[in-house]
Amino acid sequence: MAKTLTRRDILKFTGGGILGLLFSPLPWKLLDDSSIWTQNWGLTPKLAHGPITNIFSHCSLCSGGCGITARCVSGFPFAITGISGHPVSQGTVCTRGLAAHHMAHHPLRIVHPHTFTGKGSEATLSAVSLQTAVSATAEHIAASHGSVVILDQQPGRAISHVYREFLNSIPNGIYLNSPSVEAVTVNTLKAMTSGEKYSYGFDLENADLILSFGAPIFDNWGTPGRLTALHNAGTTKVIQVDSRYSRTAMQSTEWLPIIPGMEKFLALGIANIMIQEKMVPAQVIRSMSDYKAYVAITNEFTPEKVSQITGIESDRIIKTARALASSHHPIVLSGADPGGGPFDSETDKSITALNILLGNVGKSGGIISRRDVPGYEINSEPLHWANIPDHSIEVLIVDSVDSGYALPWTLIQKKMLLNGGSILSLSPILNEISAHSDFLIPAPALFESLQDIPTPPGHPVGTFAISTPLLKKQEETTEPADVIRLLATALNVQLEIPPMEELIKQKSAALYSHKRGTLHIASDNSTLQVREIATADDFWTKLTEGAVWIDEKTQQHSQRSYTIGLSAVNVPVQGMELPMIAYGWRGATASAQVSPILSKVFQETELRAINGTVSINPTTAIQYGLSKDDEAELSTVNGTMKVHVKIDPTIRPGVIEASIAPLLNGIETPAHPAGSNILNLCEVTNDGTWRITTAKLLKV
Amino acid sequence: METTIEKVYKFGMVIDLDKCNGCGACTVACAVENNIPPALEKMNKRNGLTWLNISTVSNGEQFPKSESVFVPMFCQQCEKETPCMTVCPQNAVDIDPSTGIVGQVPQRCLGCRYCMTACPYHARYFNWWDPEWTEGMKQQLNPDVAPRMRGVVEKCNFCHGRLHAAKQKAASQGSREIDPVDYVPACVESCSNKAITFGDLNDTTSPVAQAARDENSFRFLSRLGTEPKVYYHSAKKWVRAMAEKSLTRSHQEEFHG
Repeated sequence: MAKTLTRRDILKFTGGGILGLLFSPLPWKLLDDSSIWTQNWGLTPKLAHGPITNIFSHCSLCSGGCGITARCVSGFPFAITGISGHPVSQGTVCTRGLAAHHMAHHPLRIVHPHTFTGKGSEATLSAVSLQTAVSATAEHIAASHGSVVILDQQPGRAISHVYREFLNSIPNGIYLNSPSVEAVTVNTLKAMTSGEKYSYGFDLENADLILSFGAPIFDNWGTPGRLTALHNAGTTKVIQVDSRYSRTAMQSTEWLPIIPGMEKFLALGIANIMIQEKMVPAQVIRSMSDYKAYVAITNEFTPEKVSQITGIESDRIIKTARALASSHHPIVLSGADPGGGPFDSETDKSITALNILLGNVGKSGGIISRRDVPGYEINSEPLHWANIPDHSIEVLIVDSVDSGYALPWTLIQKKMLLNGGSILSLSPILNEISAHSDFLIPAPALFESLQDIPTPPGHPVGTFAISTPLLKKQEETTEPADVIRLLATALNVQLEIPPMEELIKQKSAALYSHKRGTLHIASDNSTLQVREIATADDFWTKLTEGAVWIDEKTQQHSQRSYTIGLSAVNVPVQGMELPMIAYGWRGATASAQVSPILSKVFQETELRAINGTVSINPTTAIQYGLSKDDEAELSTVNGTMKVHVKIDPTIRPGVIEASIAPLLNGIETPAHPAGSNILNLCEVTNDGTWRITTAKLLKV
Repeated sequence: METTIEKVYKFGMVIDLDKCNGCGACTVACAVENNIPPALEKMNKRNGLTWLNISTVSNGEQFPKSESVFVPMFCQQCEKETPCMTVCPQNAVDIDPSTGIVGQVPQRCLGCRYCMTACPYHARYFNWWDPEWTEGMKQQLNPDVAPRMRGVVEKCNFCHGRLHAAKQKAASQGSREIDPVDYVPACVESCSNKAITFGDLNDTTSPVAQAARDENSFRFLSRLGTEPKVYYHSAKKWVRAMAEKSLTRSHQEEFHG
């Protein structure tokens, strides 16, 4: 008898089937496979194929002039390391340089001219033709009554000469430099000197004591490899005067923790001790034209008084002055934190004058004369922000590179005409300044075009090298030299500006014609005398293959006289309620862009605090009712923003340290005007600096 | 002719904490060498990907006597009872007996994260999200290292791409040993302060073995008996004293993992 198939049988079969399947490998295999499929849906990139090559070149990310080896696959650079035995950078590359090949592929890269249309939060970025951007800027220059300014962020390059020539050919042109973190001491000394035709450089390798007033010498200062080599040698004592426990303070032999903003008084106090204890050589006194006036100013600053002003014990001040005077080869460096901007000029003068008092100018292990590189001589000094009257700039052209110092938008606003000013940015990547500009004509990005690498600021001898292109240039990007040529044509200005590569080649030929100095060859770490090279073309070829030219040391002389030019100094009134010190990392501040991989430093580790972080001492935290990781409201005269609080016992009580780090996840634009960048909360003073701002901190 | 690398190595490192200035070059060089992607906006120290993490540790004093050091922390290459290897259900972790390097096979990893729980050094990282590079950056990945996918764990392997290249070079030259100059991990190469010494701990004359034997050298959590092959060095007593302290977890980490 045939069995009837019942509903119960179907349910039993189905249930059994499901149970059986669960105990079989099938669902687990499907789960595993679907996981693998979704993991690999084209989201994990495939790797490039092709030959592996090494290309020797130089990094033009900053003015350090580091030699690099680019490891390439199919011609694309995938890693950057140093050049062993490189005479300038000593075989190393800085943290930013290790990822410099990413800059051309930055998420905020701009590859053709743009303009901002609309106002405030309505503003949008839209593409325009090169002709439109150039014509609009030229028309504004032609009709301008205020000044036309070019901000050169890395002076001393071939393009810097083009900028100067263009500005000299129009009636209201001003050549403006952002201050250099490294060059401030040598530039201040040059301004004090008469009878010196050359530039100055630091003979750090032969110094036995460095007294640094805030210069971040062990944190990306100058050519980083040179300074780390000095640190590794361990033969030079370093005393760091710093208002914060910076990386340089941490690595120095001795840290003098000074109350923020009081550096000038410590320098005058040290000078006073040297003068009172008759440690200043008679020859030095004779060379100073205003010695009496200088002594009259320093007289007031006894160790006890300076101790009261600076917070440093008087016996440490006396000990430091005596250590300086008894050293054979001391150097005193000025240069404030890159996030907080430069010192005011009176502070720079007070600090730099100590070198003159010590008699270390023109001596081995001191500050020495350096011949200018042929073709790169500078005949006139540029202006700095402090020299520009408020609301006087009508047209501002901002160069394509970064100076190392932060550049607050509020500083530019202070200098631009209240109505009617316009800004043209040449930056290849959208940054804090280009995001506020009227037009953007992007230059080729790093490693997309040939660039010259002039002598790094403060280097003891002249150097010259080339940064060769490693990447294909984006078609609609324009060399700054070509932009200036187009502007000159539109303004009917007669200027002969060759293409950039041709211009640099001309400089190379001019240098070769002097037949002096040596070339360091990267491929075999050898040295070649320039006079042994047959032709200028051979010299050029070697430079494009990664060689660096090194000048001979010049004969030092002592036929100089100095004028310090210090104004009468008023003792400051202390008691700012809660001073906020802005700090940053040279070349990686809120106004610069860095490789996205720098998130490893800023976001995924505790190495550098992200923008929007304030650090305070535990006692300050108790005073303001704050604890670790709290959200707080930071207010200054410029506005208010929410910040993240870190507690750090290395910070001076009663002080806020504010991180001026790059904005990794978006920048402030007219469309997104505020709320993420502490730099714009800093108060810019008439000295063109923003180091200390009164702030309020409230727990949210 | 057939050549074989016969020598048994025990690769290790000594990190001089007094020389480290926290520049971050090692962590960036590591990311570039090993195709570790940049962080997404939502990433932070707890869920980011850094094979080489660096923390700041203070001496507990108050200003101006307070000091701090940077402590680079990455896979300590445990020699004995390797905790991550013991707990892995997928056999995705192994130790190469010829080098002593603890390896990780992402293709085998199912993402259970037992190894992360077991690791006393918090030196393993989970790919919470798909790796993301900009289009141009994808062309600039290291062709010797495969990028990992979402859902797997990864960690430092002393730059295994460089080890293979050094082995191949030695073999092609008929040598039975790797030339120490040919095998240098990216972090060691990038450290301008020369704070990291790398080499064969089995070779008692090597700089790394000598540095490891220094009286001021120490290993973190050595009481666990896992015999890490990464040593640290400091002349400061308070720095050496932290070696046996566990990592302090914040209130947020304690309750949210």
